[in-house]
Amino acid sequence: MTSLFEYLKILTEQSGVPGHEHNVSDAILKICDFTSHMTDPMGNLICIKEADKNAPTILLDAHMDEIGGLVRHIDDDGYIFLEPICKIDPRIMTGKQALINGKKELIGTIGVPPPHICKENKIPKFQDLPIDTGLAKEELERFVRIGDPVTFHSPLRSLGGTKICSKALDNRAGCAVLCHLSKIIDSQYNIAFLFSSQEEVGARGVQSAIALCSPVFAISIDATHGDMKGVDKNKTRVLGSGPIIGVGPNIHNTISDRLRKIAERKNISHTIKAYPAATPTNLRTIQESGVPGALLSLPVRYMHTPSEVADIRDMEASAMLLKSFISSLDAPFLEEFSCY
Amino acid sequence: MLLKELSNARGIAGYENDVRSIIKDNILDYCDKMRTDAMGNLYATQSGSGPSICLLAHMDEVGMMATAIEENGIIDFDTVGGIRDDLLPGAVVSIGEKRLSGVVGFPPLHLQSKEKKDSPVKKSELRIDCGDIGPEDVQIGDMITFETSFRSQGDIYMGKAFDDRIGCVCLIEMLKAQLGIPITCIFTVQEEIGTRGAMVARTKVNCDYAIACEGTFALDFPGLAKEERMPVMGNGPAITISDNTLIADKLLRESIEAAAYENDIPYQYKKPFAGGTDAGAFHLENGTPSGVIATACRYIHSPCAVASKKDINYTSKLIMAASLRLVEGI
Repeated sequence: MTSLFEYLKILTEQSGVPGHEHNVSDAILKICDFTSHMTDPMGNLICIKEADKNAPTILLDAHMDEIGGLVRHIDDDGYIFLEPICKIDPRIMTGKQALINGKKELIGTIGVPPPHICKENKIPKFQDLPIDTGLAKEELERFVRIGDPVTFHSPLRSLGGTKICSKALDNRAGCAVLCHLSKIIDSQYNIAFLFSSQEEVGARGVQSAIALCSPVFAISIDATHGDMKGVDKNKTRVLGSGPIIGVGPNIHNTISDRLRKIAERKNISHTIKAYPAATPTNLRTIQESGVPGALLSLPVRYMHTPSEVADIRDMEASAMLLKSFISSLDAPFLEEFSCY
Repeated sequence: MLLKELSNARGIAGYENDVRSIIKDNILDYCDKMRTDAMGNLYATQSGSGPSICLLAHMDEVGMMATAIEENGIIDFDTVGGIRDDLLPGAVVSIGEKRLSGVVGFPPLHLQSKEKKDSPVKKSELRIDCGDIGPEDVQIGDMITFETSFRSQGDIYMGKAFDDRIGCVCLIEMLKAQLGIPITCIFTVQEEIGTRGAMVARTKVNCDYAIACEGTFALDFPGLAKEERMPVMGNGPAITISDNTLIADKLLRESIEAAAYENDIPYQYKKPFAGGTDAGAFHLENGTPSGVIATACRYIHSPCAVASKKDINYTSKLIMAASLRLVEGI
């Protein structure tokens, strides 16, 4: 559990909006030790734990990118304005801090006029939110250019018990699980760990990466909604109740059934979530590429805010489940996918 | 660094202990007399001859308080002092003496109804999520503050509680300068909920002038018309002509302005009839001529304010220069 926390600390510190994931992939390579790895022009990082050159390859996928914005405009007073890369609720921006990743990392604050002079309460437009670094325009432009990536600045913190809070737990939590897994796993098959890029803009990274891996099947690990006050309980899963095994047309039953069986046999706490259509994850693209796949999700509260909350136990359990699952694999199972 | 230590320290109205301890440690060697009253105000006196001056800075900051503990580490809260509702979602906070971390949770857009998506944030609908806590970890009434780390970046500082830890720093520097004039620096409590500490402090001292030293708002905010931007960060200390609680004594104000002029200190005016300070409470006792000198900070009463290093230095200098000038006689 300690190592997972440390991986998370390092991974959530990195900024990586879609198309700018190199900080995250560099951090992963520092944490992990793989037989070989490669990066591709899309920003994907593919790490191989090789058993035998002729053995089949199994793909484990977690996306590295996070929500954020790009610098759109710097006004005469040195305020920075953003274009969001993904859909972000403007209501969670005000009062928060942003990390601007230009030539030099700068922290900006997203302020509002004080209550003394402004009592109005209306939803701002994302594009109108000013980020203030305190630097004058001239000095600012030495470090920041139009198009530079911007993320939340929100370092990892421990909450009560095993809960943690940070930006980008969607999906650094998934990346941390794979980093942890890579250290405890042992398999007769080749395992490709795909740390994919550009998921938040529509699973673009995985589309180009999957061809490079030629896997027999794939499992994606991603964040989904955890239990939150005021939100329909049927739509969320309780934090700490373990990994969520997805079922539905996007997921190959053979794999999800085996995951459930292993979880039950090994007494790993887990829940099931039904996806009646394509999942909003990389798995959609994986399936469309003709690779059978399954989805393991981690419950995360307040997704796409600077303060996402997750439970380390869920990550620990996910790694355990994947480890047990992979060591249970044998030739008959790998041949089963096309048998209907 | 003093401002860093004071900005990171926690103290909402009625819970100023940590801030007071830091201030006491820093001024102990520099005052002829130091005392506190039953309310928690801290008085530090230096003696000298001539008219006496009270300098005021409040120790409390805006924050929150736990009002109910719901199940599963969820805490209901209310604000203590003026905080806009729309600053709260996603804020990271520090709770109680154990400094537990918590977040003001806000459900993602994916799970909100159309109606919710279109409604502005309402404080009453928000809760703080502390993770798994035990029955003893959080109590009703616990202090909740923003968890913001102080930072220096270029010519500015960023952090919480600049209103009024900047004023506290200026007063501490004034005491350390040992100018040999009769001053009482009063570090007050409970300013943010209606200058309640100052109402008591004004009855405990006799002074000829009172000056509140503040971290006030800067209004150089995009979207505000140029003529509304008053004061502006970086343009020197902001001097109050009038606010919602005080019409500054004209002779006193002119003397402050003259001190600025004589010492090459740039200054500006604060937007009239906005906000209020401890000086408002003080001038109602015996009609003590009162005024306000402040550093204009962007985004006060939010998790993270921004202030100019130069402005803070000039504010500190102006408080000293104005005091010296007042003692010589208006």
